[in-house]
Amino acid sequence: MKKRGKQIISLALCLALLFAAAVCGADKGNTPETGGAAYQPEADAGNRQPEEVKAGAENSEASDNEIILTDQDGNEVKLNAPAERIVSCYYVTTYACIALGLEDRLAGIESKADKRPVYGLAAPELLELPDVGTLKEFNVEAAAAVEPDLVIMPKRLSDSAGALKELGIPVLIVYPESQALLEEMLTLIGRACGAEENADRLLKYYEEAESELAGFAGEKTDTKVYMAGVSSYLKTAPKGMYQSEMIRKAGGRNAAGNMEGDAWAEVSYEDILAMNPDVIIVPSSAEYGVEEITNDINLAEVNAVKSGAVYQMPKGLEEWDSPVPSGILGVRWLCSILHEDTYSREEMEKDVREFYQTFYGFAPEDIVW
Amino acid sequence: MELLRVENLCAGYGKQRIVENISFSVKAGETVGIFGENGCGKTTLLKGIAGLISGVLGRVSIGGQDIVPMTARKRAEYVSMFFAGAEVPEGLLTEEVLEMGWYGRLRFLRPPGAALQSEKERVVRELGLEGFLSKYFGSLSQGQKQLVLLGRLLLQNTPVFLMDEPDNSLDFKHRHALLQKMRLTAGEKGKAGLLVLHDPSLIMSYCDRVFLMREGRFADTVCPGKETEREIAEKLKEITGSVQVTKRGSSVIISP
Amino acid sequence: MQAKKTTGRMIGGGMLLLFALCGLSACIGSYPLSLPDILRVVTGNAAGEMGERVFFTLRLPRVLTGAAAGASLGLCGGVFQLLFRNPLASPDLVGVASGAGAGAACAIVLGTGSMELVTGGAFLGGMAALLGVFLLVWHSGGNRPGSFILGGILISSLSDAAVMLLKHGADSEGKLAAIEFWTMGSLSAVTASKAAGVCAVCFPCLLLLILFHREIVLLSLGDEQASMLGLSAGKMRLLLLTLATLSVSGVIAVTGVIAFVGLLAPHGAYLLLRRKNRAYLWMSMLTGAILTVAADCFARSVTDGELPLSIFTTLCAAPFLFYFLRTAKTG
Repeated sequence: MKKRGKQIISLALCLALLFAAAVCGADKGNTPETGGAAYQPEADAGNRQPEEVKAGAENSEASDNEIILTDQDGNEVKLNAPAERIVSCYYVTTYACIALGLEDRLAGIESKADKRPVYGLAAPELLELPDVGTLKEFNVEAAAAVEPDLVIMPKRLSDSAGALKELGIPVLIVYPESQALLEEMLTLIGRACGAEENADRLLKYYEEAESELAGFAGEKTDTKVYMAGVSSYLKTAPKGMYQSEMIRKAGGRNAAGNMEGDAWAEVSYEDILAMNPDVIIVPSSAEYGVEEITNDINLAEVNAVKSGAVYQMPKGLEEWDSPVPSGILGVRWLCSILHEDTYSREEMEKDVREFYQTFYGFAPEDIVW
Repeated sequence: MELLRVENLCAGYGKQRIVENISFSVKAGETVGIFGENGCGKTTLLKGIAGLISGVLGRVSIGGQDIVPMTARKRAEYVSMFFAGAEVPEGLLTEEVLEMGWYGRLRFLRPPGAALQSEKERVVRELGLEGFLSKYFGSLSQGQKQLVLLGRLLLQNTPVFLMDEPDNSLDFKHRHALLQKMRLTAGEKGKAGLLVLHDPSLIMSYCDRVFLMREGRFADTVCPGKETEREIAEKLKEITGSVQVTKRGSSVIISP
Repeated sequence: MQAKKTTGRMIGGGMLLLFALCGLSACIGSYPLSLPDILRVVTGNAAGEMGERVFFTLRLPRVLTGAAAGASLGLCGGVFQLLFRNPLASPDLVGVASGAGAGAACAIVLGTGSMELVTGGAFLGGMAALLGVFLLVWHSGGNRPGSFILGGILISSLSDAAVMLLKHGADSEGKLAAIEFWTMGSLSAVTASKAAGVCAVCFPCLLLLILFHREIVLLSLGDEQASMLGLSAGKMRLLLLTLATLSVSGVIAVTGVIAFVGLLAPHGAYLLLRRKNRAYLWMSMLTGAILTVAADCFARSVTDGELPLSIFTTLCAAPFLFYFLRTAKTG
């Protein structure tokens, strides 16, 4: 009994020592970081030398060049120079980088990039970039492996932001849940990357397009629009959602405009019958088709179904019904549906092509209108 | 010399009171038996004395110290209890079960000293446990188990020990060996033993005094050594019905 | 005496296996770090490089947290087994794990979500669940294997309902993702500061639990024998359960619920040692750590991305539960 006691105590001691050694190792490893370059010019440290020197050189003038931003989660982000290697953690920020002409600076993007047709059209090289995970499983190590100087991520990944900051990688958290926040995000990314001009150009386009569209709608703004959900048409966009704003700007009225909330809300058939929308819009990424709504006998009495006004947003490009840089095109599209007499379809299609040509650098051919 | 003194003890479970106002005392070196029908409160009485049930009224003192308000640890220096059917989980060696006896005498984290070790060796020798110390407790026969539990009780080495049916499921040889050992322990070391047994012959043979218990009270006392066969039979009648009592040397044989 | 010798060997072997697995685990990950790289990092020859920072802020903390989490769950499982004297008692099945998960979720949604708050919430949730199960079992009268499990199911369902309610009320960005995480268990979000937090909570608890090995084994005989042998059973049980719950909560606050380690580890330890003493507690701890570190190695290497740990631990648990089901009818 006694003997085993000693054995166990010595084992415990060994374990404790090993742990302590690991911790000390960590400390030892960390301390030289501040002045490491000064006394470690050995050959094996050579491969990092150029980078350090470059950073050092920029540092001398960095006091003027330094960029300080406040991200959309309220954190201060400090960059020594405009970001050159960017990791984008989800499609909205990747779209934003394309729209701001920063696609060449992307060094890593989210998983399943091949599911976004615009990447292939605007910047096919994006499909070859390292994959840093999804919103569910963000891979901090993979992001660190591309050695970025800025990681742009949505608020729901903010848990991983701490890890990246501990690694010394600046993180810009964005939250583009409305047009105003989208514009703020574009400005932030533009400033972080020294692409303010491109951001300004985009924002100016939004402003002009909105007033132009308001002109097309005129006084006729009480068409009731039901925005169906992505997974089911028994979900709709309530008052607080971006889609509600899109409907308003296109000169319509959200059928669910008196429902509170900022996420897809469940509704029953009865609710839809009570709303009795004039137009039903199906998102481009919906998991069902227009026919399913028109064939649903429970909805046969709804105005929109009776008059055949059920439309799906164009497939094959972007999710125009969500706060992405091309979200304005969703407003254009819906406006041309609601106010065809003042804003014709052809005009709208021309504007869409022009937008992509100007900001994304390609001419969309095969849009499924 | 009076060692254990119980005064006006009342005990029970919840609102149900099972032991009513019992008072008695046991001298050092004396073994006292408690005899009664099932459900008359014998086990409750022992548990009340041992502090295993809450809400006990009255006073239990050992060597002048009131043990009712004591902590379990302190109380374990004064009184120990033998559970016949004590459950021990599998995976424990006999030695480990035996050594639990000195838990109350160890300081936290301190290994047992040499004195305790030699005490253990003596108990092992006396009870003949050498052969199965490194066997699993669960693999022992019932008799061997009881013997180990007795060893554990001896290692706890308290002035007062309580035994609840220690003869339970033992064969003839083991039963007498165990009771003999128990009586010797009390007699030689000046301890007080309190014993519950179901067999009237055994209890009369091994105890100096026997309390007859009925409905939570002591109805009568028998001193088997001093009373005649007829007196004993008369007192037992209330519990066992009429019986034949035969004395032979120190043993008392009771047959229907 | 033979038994003691093999016990020592088993524990030694377990330690070696654990260290080997930790070494292996340190080499797996998306950031390219080879064994020579790691040696360079550990010896301090790679100061200032990204590799070094990745190793010390992500890799090493991850390995340590995995080992600490597994050790906690394993030891607490062993402690629960002995204290409840029930082969099905474990932090998961008794509902402590889901209670702690709900508590943590509560702290995330209603509070600021800081590490201390989440651990505190997890602890309160875990204790509440434990208390709830105790009350249920006590009320139903009797410590049968079934009553604990039914109590555990009831409490777990209540906790799950609470989590669902919180999920429903939480905003869809940010917080919801953080809650999702509790339900599956993952080491992917572990960083140096979180690892330090886990170790700060777990190591003292585990140390104390191990130091109380005599008391834990005594309580495995039941309250009457324990208190007759000089142990204040009620108080000690409360203290030990609090320590165990605290250390499980510390783990759950960072890794989320890693299923079944707390059940598998002690049973594995018993199968290996056939003992239920101090060595059993050590072995439960080791087995838990080995299981978790191994599961984490799998979780990172099977697909390009990461899989939740619970998938693997549950896969390990299924055959064992089946075995238990088959043997239970005799015992």
